[in-house]
Amino acid sequence: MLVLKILVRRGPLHGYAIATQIEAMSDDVLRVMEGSLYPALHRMEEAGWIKARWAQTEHQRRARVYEVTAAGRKQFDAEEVRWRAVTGAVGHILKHA
Amino acid sequence: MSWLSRLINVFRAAAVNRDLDEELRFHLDARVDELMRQGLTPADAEARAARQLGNVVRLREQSHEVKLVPWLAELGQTCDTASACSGSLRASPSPPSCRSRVPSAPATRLFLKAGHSVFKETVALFADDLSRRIESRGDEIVAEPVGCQQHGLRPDDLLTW
Repeated sequence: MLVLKILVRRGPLHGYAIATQIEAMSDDVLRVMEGSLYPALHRMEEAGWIKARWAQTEHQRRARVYEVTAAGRKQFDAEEVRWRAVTGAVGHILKHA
Repeated sequence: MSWLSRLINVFRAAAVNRDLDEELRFHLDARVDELMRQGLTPADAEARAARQLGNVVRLREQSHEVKLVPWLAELGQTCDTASACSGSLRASPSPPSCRSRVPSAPATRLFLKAGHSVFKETVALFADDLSRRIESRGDEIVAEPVGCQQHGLRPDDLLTW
């Protein structure tokens, strides 16, 4: 879900940038374990949620960048609704129990 | 998908490997640059970056498996189509393309049909096994909370999504 959110918000990014963006946007609370990132990205690509292409970085290096597809946006919307429902329920319990 | 495309895919595996290697190399180099900016020596930065990324061979295998499952599913569908095509030949009013490809001798047709079944079953078993393996592994992105005390998290907390 977070990868989709980052890509929706920031546009096309390579894997390394996705990892650093998650870290930065979580105020350095979350650090992506890099070994888990690429198999997950490739799985999302096969699922059609993101698509990849090769692009040049500002340092003239070739990098594989990922961008979210229409199916990915739909998936993100569904996951966000589910996440908010779960965290809302937990919050409600913590507040009122 | 045509048999020509399948043949191309066999050779494509080498290109997929090259792409994965280049992608992981880019990641490692970017991490090394960042660590060197933080003051590490090149040797220390490379060692730490490699440690953080993990086993590259395993990552390649995992990515390959992920890409293989849809390919196997498509291969199974092609088997079905081929089998249906051979069946329609027996019923006589069949498309000319089938007639030209499948030999007409009954023994040969029987042999091809048996071959289809065995091949299809094997592909299905392999795909199921692979899917289970990927499912059990999860392929989730794992993040560890850093700055634990500052954020009131336990050091052994692992957050997955």
